[in-house]
Amino acid sequence: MPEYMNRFNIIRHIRSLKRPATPNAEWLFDDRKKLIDFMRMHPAMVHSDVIRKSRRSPGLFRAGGIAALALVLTTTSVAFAAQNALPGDSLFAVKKIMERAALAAPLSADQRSAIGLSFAERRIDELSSLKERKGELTQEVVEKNMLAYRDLVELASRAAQEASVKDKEGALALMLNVEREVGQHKNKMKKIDEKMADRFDEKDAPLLREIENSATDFEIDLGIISSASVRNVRTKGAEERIRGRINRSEQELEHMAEFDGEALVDDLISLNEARIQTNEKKMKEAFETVKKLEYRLDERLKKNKKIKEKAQDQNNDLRDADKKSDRVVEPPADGIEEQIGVSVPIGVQGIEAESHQEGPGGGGADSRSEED
Amino acid sequence: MQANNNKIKQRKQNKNMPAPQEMFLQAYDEYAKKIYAYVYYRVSSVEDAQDITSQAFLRAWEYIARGDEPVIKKIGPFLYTVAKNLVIDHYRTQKRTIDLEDVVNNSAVSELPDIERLDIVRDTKRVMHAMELLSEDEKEVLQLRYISEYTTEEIAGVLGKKKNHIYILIFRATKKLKKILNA
Repeated sequence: MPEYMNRFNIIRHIRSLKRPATPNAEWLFDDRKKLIDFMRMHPAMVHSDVIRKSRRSPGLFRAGGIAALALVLTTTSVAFAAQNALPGDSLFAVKKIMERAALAAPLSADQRSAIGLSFAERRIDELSSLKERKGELTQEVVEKNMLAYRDLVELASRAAQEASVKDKEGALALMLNVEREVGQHKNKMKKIDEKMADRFDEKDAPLLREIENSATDFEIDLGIISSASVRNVRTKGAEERIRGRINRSEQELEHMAEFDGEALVDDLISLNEARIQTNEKKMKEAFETVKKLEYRLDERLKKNKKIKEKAQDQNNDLRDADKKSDRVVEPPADGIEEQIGVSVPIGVQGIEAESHQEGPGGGGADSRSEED
Repeated sequence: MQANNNKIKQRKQNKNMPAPQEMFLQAYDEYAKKIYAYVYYRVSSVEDAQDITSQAFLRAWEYIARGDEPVIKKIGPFLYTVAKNLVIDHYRTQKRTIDLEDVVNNSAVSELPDIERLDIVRDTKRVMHAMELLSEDEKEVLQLRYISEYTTEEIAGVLGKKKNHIYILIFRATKKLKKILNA
C-alpha cells in the first residue's frame, strides 16, 4: 500500500529528483574552460550593458537590502499603515517586503518558526478581513493566500527540523508548537468556511470547497508536517504496536497454556486408557495362554498317568509271570518313554521324574541295569 | 578540495576577462547547473545533457558577441530559452527515450541501504510517472521551481507570464499531482 502523499511529500520527492541531475564537477570545469576559449575566439563587440543580470542578487545582499528597506519603512507611517493592508491593497506589497525582511534576518530556529507561524496566521486573517470588507473572496486570492500560508508553515516546520540537529527536545517542543498553531489556524479557517456557507449560495461552492480542501490538507499535514514529528509519531506508533504485540503474545501464551493444560489432561487420560486396554488385553492373552498350558499339562498328566498305570500293570503281570517261572524280567522303561513320544513341558519334567522314581521297583531296576 | 581549487582558478580567469565576458562567466557559474538539471530531465542522458548545456552557453555568447541583437534583459531566462530551443531541436533529430529506472538508479540514492533505497526509488518513480500526466506548462513549472531551483520571478520571466500566475500554476500542479498520486 503506497503512502499517502501530501503537498510536503510531493515537493520533497520532486526536489529529490535534483540529485541525479547534478553535473559532474570535472565536466563543468572543462566546459567552463571551453567557453572561455570560445569567448576569446569570439570577443564581444559590445559594452557589458548588453547583459543585464537577473534582478535576483545573492541571498545576503538581497536580504540586507530588503532589511534596510524594511527598517526605513518601519520607521514611517507607511509601514504602520501597511500592517493592516489586505491582498489587492496598494500597501500589501510593502507588507510582504517587511515580512520577507523579517524572515531574511539572522534568527534562531525558534524565532524563525514563531515569525513564520505568525505570518501564516496573517494570511488566514487577511482572508477573513477581506471577506468582511468585500463580502466575497475570489478564487485567485484564496489560492494565493493558501499557497503563501503553506510556504510559511513549511518554513516554520523546517526551522524546527534544522533545530533538531542540535537540540532534539527543543525541536520537538517547536514542532508541538507548530502543530498547536496550525490547529488554531484550522479553526479559523473553519469559521470563515461557516460564514461563507451562511452567506453564499451554491454558486460559490467551488470557493467553499477550496477552503474545505485546504482544511483537510492541513489536517493531514498536522501528522506529517516535518520529518522530526513524523519520526516522533512513528516511534510512538512503533512502541504502541510493539506493546500491542507483546500484549497479544501474552494473551496467546495464556490461552495456549490453558489450552495445552486441557489437552495434556486429555492426552494423559487417553494414554492411561490405552495402557489399561493394553494391559487388559495382554492379561487376557496371558490368562488364555496359561489356561491353554494348564489344559495341556493336565492332558499330559492324565496321559502319563494312564501310561504309568498301564506300565505298572504290565510290570505286575511280568512279576507275576516271573514268580511263576522264577525268572526276573526288566520293566520296559524306555519303551514307555517312546510311547509318550512328546517333549515334556517345563514343570512337568519333575512330575515325570517323580513318576519315574515313584515307579515301584522301576528306579531300582534302572539303577541295577546301569550298574550291570 | 578539487572544487575549491577550481573556484580559485576560476576567479583568476575572471580577473583577466573584459567586462562582458566576466559577466557571462558569472552567469555560467550561476546557471550551468540549473540549465543542466532542466535539460537532463528533458533528454534523460548525461552525454546529451552535457552537450546541450554546453551548446546553450556557446550559442548565448554568440548572440551576445554579435552585438546587433536587442539587449538581454535577464540572462537566466534567456539562457533557459536557448536551452529549451536546443532540446526541441534534439527531439526533432532523435527519438525521446526516457528510462525512469536509469534516471533514478544513476542518482546518489543508489549508495543508500537497500530498504531505504527501494522506498525512495519507488516513491520517486511514482512522482515521475505522475508528472508525466501533467500538462507541459505544469511539468515545466515544477521542474524549474524544485529541480532547477529557479525563483518564481525567474520562471515568470522564462515562461513570459506574471509572477502571480506562476504561483497559482505551482499550486494547481502540486494539487493535481496529489490527486493523481492518491487516486
